[in-house]
Amino acid sequence: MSALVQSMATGLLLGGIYAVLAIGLDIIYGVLDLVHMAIGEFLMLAMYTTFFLYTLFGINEFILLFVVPLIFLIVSIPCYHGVFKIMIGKPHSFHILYTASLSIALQSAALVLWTSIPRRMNIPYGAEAIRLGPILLNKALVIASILAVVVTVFTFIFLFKTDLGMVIRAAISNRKLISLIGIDPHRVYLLAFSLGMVLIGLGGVLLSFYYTVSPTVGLAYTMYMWVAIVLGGPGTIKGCLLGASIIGVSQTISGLYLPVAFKDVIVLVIFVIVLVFRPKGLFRK
Amino acid sequence: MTKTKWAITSRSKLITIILLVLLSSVFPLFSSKYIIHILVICWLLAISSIGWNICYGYTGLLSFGHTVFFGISAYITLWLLVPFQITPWIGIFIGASIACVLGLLITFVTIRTRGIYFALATFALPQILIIIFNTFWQVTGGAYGVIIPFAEENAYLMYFYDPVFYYYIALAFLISVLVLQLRLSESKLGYCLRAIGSDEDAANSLGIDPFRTRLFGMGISSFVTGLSGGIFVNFLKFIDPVQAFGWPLNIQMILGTVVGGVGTIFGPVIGVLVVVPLTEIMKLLIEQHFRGLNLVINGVILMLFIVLMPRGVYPWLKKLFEKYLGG
Repeated sequence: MSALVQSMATGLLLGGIYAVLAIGLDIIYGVLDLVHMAIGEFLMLAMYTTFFLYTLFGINEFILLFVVPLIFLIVSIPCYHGVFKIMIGKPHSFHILYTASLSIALQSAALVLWTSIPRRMNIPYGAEAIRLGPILLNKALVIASILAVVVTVFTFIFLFKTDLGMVIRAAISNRKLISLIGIDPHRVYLLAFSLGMVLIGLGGVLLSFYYTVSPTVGLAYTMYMWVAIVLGGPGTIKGCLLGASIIGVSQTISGLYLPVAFKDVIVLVIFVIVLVFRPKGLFRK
Repeated sequence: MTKTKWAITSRSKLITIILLVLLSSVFPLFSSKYIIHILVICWLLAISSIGWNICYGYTGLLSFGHTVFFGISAYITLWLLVPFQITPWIGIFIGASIACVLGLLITFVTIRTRGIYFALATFALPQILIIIFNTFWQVTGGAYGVIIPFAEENAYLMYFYDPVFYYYIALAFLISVLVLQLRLSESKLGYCLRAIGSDEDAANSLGIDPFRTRLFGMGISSFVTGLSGGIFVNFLKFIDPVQAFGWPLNIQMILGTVVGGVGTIFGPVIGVLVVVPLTEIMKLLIEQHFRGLNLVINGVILMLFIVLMPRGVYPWLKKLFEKYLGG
């Protein structure tokens, strides 16, 4: 019983980190209407950036929480203009093919540059545990999840309490009408893309607290993020929280009964079941 | 011959096929074994690319799961051959049929999904099969893969030393599949598939049953892709999960169709003939220094094609043909 509770708690903690990533992708998908299949590769790059900055330059992991997103914010502007702007307004199948080929290019480039050895940020408390009644939790994971919750809260404050956030939500609910009320859509797209990239950068740092990084991790995270969005209903930012928690919990619980490698299989099975019975997501009416 | 006739009639397409057959069947007489080897891979990839084209080019379903059919068929053919000595001449068809059943199952489950949802649902399937094949390594041979043991040259077991034999086998299959695709695109089913591809709801309101049509389309598509998997494993005499289901194969299959021309008859063949030699040259030039860089270039080529030439080289080639042959 306590094993079940423990894995559920771990799953919720993981879900907290996935939520940051899913919100980032949901903003990009919602505002730009861009089906971004290379998002996991950007996350992989964020994790490598974190790893190298931490290991080579010895920058503290909490300072990295500001440095990596800042790098991603700066990179996102040329990235949007050079790579993604051209795809806006084109059919979705073009987006998928385009970003999937970007994903394979980035993944292979990482393989060439950094080899396939899994790397891990060795934070001093990485192997320590926190005891909470009957359950034991990894200290690094707990810290990362608390930070993830803080990030999520700030994102929600930005989206729901500021004018810029209101513009983003308006664009998500109807992206054609924003140009009618006198807003330049391309500036909103850039804003949303940068915000999404910043969240991906933050998520990369948070994941690096607990997980190793190798060039091929991206595919799995791309899948988790998309499944989280579809479970919650695309365009509903609150739905991402639910979807991400479902993924985290189902992964850790499946780890109790099945081989570790099957955690991805479980995610896909849940995804297909939801697609069959509620194709528009759990929250959409 | 007028312009429109060249563009439309299926007879001229059949003539093109026959000319290409003559050209390609005398080709091995003048070339080295290495080039024949590459051409066999070209024909096999072209077959699976045609399978993908029937799914995406006609029905508009963007599948990332077609390596599943390729890999399953390859493994089935191998398993029938190695312990049971069942001839690949039958095994290939059994493997392809099982791939077809799998394709029908996948369609059955994902029937309500389309667009990005279908792509997402199929996106992870190959990954999952790799995981399953690696986990149950006692049964499947795991990450090390399975080989066809060395044997005497034997036509019954499709075991040859010279790639020329495989060249003709692959060519024969490719031609049959091309003719099949030609027949399909002119048939009622082909029009139904395209109607569903352009607008599923509108097609439905005209009395085309999307469920049945998608089942048929996916069934043919997965069978064709399965065929190439079965021949492929007999040609290379080796298969492992990543080679059977992995991203590199997937991207090459997609690349062939997208570069050649989505939804066209000859697009996949032309695309593969562009892509595979390019990859081989790239391998020769840079592979020693940077392993895996050719995949980066593959990805970038695909991106460029989607931006610059989303309909592939085939329409462009056709225009050239019409200019010089059509008068």
